[in-house]
Amino acid sequence: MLQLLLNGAVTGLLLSLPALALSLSFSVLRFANYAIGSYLTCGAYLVYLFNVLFGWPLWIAASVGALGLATLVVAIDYLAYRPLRKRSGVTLLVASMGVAIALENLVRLFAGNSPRSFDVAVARPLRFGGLRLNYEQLTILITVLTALVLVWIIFRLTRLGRAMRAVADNPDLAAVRGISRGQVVASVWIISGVLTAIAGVLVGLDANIEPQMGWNYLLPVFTAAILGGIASPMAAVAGALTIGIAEELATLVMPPHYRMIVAFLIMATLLLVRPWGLFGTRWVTR
Amino acid sequence: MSEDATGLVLRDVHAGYGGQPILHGVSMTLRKGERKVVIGPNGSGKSTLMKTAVGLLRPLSGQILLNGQDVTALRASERARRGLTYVPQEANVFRNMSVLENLRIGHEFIAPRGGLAFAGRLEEVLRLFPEIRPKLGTTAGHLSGGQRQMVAMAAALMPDPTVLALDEPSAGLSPRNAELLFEIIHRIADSGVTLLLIEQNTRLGLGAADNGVVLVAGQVRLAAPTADILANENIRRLYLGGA
Repeated sequence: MLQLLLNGAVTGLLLSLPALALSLSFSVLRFANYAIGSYLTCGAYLVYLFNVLFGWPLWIAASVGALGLATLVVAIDYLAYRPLRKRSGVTLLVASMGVAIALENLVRLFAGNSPRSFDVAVARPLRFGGLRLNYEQLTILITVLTALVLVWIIFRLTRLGRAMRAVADNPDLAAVRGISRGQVVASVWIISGVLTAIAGVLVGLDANIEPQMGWNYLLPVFTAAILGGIASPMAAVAGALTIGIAEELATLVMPPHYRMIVAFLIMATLLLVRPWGLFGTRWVTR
Repeated sequence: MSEDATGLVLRDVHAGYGGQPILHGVSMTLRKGERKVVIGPNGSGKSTLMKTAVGLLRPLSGQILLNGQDVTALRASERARRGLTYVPQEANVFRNMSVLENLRIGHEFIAPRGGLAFAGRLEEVLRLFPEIRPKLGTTAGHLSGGQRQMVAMAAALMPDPTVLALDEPSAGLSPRNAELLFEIIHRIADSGVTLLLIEQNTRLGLGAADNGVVLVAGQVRLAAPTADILANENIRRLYLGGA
């Protein structure tokens, strides 16, 4: 049971980075970026390129890959989303579906369809009492917690964080208060890109790198973000942990490969009962 | 009078939405330290005038000068950095942030580097608004309408602007709260800031200003000292609903 909770927490943390990235971009740009899954895939492949083909150590490859993905994400915003910024959220959502399909096929074009994995040593799992924790899980735990703390600090304590929250709250007022929306949007994409690339590496460590990897995470990531209340980024983390633990606990009563059903069920129930999310009411809209 | 010494000048401004003009050639001059109120019936273009002046709406033609410099092409955020701050009519605070954060945001993206630091400015502004001092930790969205207006004005005053533009500060307030708010507006005006005010409540608006502009159907019908406007029976009957 404890083992399941631990596994669930790790799965949840893995989801929390892209969920945080998704709700961060939603809160500032007011559209759900469907391409988040493809961003994750691209991030993993970029890091794979540096790690396996260039032979760099994984953490250097991951840092460079994260910056690379951030650049790519900003470029995509410039080319695909910026011209549509005055349109509705649905228009942008459809545009992001196009971006998702294009990116995934670009990856297939250059990297092929077969699964790959990072160049890391295989290690025996650690044991604490009866609990088993393998090195991938430990890496996920430490990396994600560090990233979350850093994002929290940026969000709550820095000038940039205040600017992001101000634009999310009231873009027109933010403009007359001297905040440049363009800079905030670019910063949000950079943070999203870095978080998603890190998630891509961690997913690649946990499983394989393959062109569909981001796709498989799309549903639980969206569910996690909506569960938290899609416009409140830090709540997305709580949503992700809930999904992760719920999926793991579900294996007590159903075969593991049906875990996906859990995310679907939570999503469906949520949209019927509490579409603004578990923590959504705290967002004052009047 | 030389226009170099002025706060804000609009020259023959045509503006509107989707290419349809609402303002038809509006010109006005706001001298340094002047308090000017724009009044007029519903739909006369007051809010369009305000949005064009502060940079949220690009004029179709015409020119806008701030402290002698042409700012027509500048966005709202850039005009704010040059000393023109603005309090919108609605949604004028960051509702999910604390009052203190609202004031900090009012300061940090506009105030010139090397200017009076945040703490010093905060004290000066709180002296004008002692009412909000106990509320600094409160989420702005949980304040009453009158308190929100005060926070909004305080935030706009934080960077020590040369021109403060207020869009219908009394909107949505009870008559009593509107009176209280205008007492504060008097206090602000006495502190020396140049004030551009748009107000539907003509009695309160004219009472707070030196000069008035009557806007009707997107054109300036009259620009005169407020005392003259109030004394003119015809204007009162025609434009002010007998106020």
